[in-house]
Amino acid sequence: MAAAEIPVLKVLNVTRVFGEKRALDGVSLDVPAGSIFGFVGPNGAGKTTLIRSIVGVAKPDAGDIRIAGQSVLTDGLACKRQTAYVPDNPDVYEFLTGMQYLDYIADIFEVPAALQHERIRAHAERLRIAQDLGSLISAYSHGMRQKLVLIGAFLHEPLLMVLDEPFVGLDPEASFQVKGMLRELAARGSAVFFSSHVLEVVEKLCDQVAIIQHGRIQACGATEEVRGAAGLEAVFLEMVRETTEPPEGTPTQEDVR
Amino acid sequence: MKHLVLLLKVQFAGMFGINKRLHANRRKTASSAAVVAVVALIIGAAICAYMALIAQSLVIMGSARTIPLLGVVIVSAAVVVTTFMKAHGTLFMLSDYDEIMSLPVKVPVVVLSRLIPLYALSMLFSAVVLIPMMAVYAHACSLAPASIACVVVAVVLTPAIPAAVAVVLAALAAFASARMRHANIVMSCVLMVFMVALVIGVMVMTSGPGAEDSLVSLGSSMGASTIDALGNAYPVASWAAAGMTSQNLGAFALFAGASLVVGALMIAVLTRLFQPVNQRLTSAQVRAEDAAGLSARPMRVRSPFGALLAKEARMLMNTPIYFMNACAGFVLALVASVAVVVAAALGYDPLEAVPGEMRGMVVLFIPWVLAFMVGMMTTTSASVSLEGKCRWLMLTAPVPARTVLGAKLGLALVTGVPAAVVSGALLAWGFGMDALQAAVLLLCAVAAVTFSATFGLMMDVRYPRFDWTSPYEPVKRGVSVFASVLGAAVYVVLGCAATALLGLAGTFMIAAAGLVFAVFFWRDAINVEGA
Repeated sequence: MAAAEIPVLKVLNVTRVFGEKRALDGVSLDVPAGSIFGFVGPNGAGKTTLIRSIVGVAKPDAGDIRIAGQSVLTDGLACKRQTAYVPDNPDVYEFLTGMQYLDYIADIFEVPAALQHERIRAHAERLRIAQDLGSLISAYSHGMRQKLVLIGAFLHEPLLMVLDEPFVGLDPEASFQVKGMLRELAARGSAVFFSSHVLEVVEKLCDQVAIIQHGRIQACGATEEVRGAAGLEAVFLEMVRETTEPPEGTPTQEDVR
Repeated sequence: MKHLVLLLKVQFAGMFGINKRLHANRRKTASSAAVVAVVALIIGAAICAYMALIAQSLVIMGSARTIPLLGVVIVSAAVVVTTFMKAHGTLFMLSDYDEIMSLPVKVPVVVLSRLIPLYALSMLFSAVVLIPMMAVYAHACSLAPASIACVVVAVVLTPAIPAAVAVVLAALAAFASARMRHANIVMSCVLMVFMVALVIGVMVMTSGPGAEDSLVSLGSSMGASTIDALGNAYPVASWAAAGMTSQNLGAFALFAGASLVVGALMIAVLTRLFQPVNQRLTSAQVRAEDAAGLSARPMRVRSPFGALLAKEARMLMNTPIYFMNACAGFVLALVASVAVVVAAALGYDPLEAVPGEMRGMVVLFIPWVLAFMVGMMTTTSASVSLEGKCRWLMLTAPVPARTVLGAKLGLALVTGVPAAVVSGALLAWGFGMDALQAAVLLLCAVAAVTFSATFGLMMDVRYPRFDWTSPYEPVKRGVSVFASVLGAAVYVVLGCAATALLGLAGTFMIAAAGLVFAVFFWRDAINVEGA
């Protein structure tokens, strides 16, 4: 296979079991270069488990995950160098200032000196947090921490950006800017893989989407194909209803309408 | 009352990771619970045995009457230090402050829910100290039923006044440091100065007229007059002792009354200070730096290892309980060695009280005294656990585990080795050691730091505790910290035994063995973490 055809992220039959529960049950998907891939599913469907496996925080029990052709199981460090991760909770070292944190991340990812300052300044000004970088992170709001983690993720211009609910806590302007930053990153040939419960955002931002339920991929493909004419929300609710029998008395989609 | 019970249930469930162990059905969790239980039992038994030994020494010296007074003084001093240290993180600078203050619960109930577990641990320590000492006393002098009742009450009430003093001091220190940019660093320094001042204060107090020895030799030969002097300095202890020894119920009632009144006052004062101090601490950290600060920052790029090491150093300096716990031994070693040098320079003989024929033997054991001071605690034994919720940064960093763990080990060595070398050099000079003795002393101290750092790291990699809400939990209650202290203690005891049997050669052998073990511990740590 030619290098250009190798997907940035390839998930191959990944299984992850917690006790009796199969959090991931043979999940496979490809994320090509230049694409923004939305990953949706109800709570507990396996989204965060897959994301944690992709970024090397947890290892799958079976299957493989490849980033630019390299396995996270055998070439973990090489994969981490090309990946950035934004977790669902922006927990970062509270004893550092925002600038110290960004310096730390830039140094860990060995961003060249000439680029560090330029990138920090550009992203911080774009997300309107430059004025606060001298303050301790312990004084930051949730949204400010989220911005900080996002800036840290963009610093080394990753080939693969993995985000878990990246828009939670962001103000509308920051949310708009982050979407722009993700589009620009994808336009430069990177791939973006993110989970979200905000289906409107997924529908508008992503060119590909996958729906996961009970650890299995229920639908996967180009966003237009998956959503069809009914829209992503309708497809999502339909799939969730098909795989889960709701308790008696639970309102259906029709009832709500 | 219902709210208090609910809050206490959460506090106690979180203590030592009890709830996690009750509800996790994994072999690893079960084995770590067993390790915790065994280590706690061993430490408790060791303290009991040591206290009984001290009491027995006093009986042999014919000073049995001073046992209760000494017990109360030991408990009081320990409670002041530990409560002062624990207050920061348990009562002030709580990570779950917003969460608990948003609950529909009155502030006094919140304060009590934090104080009761703190007091319960002090009471446990009080029991571990007073009961074995009083058992020895009862064996030597017999105890009347009224005295036994006094002992029981004393176990419960002795921590009250020292805890109150410590809490108020901690609140004032936190309040004073809050407006400073680096409040945590200031707090770390205040804690360290407080502890050193306390130790020096006790040493000065116990080295007055009639006292031949310092606190270090408390167990075997502390003079009765010294213990009486302690009683005069802290009359509450004398009142408690009077009740326990001579059934002086009037004096004992004074002790109980003072403890209850001061304890109640503490709760009242803390209830008033709890919100203002915590609000001041949380709001004080906001300090914006203008955009010029961003553009003016120097271009300084570090290697990943350098960045990790700098982060570890910042974590140490900004976490007062961590700094205090890990570095107190280094500071005390330096203070003690400087004291020895100053005494020698002023013409005093540091070994004046030691009979001539014993001097050589005492000098032989000095390496292990220093090893004990610099090796008992280390930064590494809580360094992995302290990553807590931020461990995703460590796990997703594109650097091998040996670099991440190497930075943690590096910090322990950067802080410990200079302290060991400087203290060792000063002690060697102060005690007039020859070159060989000095070299072995330095080797022994450096080996103790290295052994402790690598063993602590290995234990924390194997038994980390990430689900903490206050850094106090992994630092003071972590399995790895317990095990690390125990491992270092065993190492020092083995070293003393080897020195007793083989002299300087024994010291050298165990020190060298410590360095060899350190290599194995390091390898194990990076293998577990996945180099």
